[in-house]
Amino acid sequence: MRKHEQIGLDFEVDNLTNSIENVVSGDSFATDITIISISDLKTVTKKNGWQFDWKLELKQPEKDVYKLTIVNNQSVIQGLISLEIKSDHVYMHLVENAPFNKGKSKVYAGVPGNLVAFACKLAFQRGHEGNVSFFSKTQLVQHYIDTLGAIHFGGRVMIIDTNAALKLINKYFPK
Amino acid sequence: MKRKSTELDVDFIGGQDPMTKEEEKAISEFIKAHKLLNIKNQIRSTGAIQQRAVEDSEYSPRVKSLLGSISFPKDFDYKKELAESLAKKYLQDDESFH
Repeated sequence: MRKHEQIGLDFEVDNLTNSIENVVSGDSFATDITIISISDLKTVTKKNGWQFDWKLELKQPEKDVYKLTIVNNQSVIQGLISLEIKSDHVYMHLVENAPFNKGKSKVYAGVPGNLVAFACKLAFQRGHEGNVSFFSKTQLVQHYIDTLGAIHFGGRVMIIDTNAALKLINKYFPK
Repeated sequence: MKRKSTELDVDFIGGQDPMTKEEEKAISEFIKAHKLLNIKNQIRSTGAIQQRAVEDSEYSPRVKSLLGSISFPKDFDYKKELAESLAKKYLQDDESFH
């Protein structure tokens, strides 16, 4: 029998900012998170540096895929998130930064944190009291505890509960 | 003071392994238990506030000691009961007086 490799989410949570921040200039840019369409994914390919098959994510009806863009610049995708609304929480399938936001030479910081906060917001909107779950690699568990206030549920499962979700939402989506 | 860095060498790689039924069930149970715990804590804090209100009130120590020791039915009309009790006590005496 083929042994399944468990790959937890391995996104890096940058500084918690109200928007995304240009790493070089330090300028902040307000962001939009909108549901993605197939036409948005023309440039989201492995050839262009994306790690995952986002077209496949979009094809699965139980999942919703959202893109994060800078306000008034909707054509440049800064990051993507794939979410599934479960019966009592939101499950975060996948989060990926745009290729130019990866590594030490990244252009913008704060993209994954924004996307995670959005997942928490959606969890409130769907009546799940902000509860979000996701899978993590063992070596990143503490990082998510420190940066997201997530609870390590055991194994690869992590949960962002109501209190942690509220903190993230207040940080990223201030009124 | 130097800020603790949150930077990691490896950036954003996601996992696509589906959630198992056991994991889903365990998460649901955890969320359920967490909700119950929050409700209990809320009730406890509400009870503590009520207790503090009684302690801070101007009731005499004797009245304070009686608070919460008796429970009445929801439809209990204390005015009616009081009137009947007073009538019983004084009207009978009045009749015997005349």
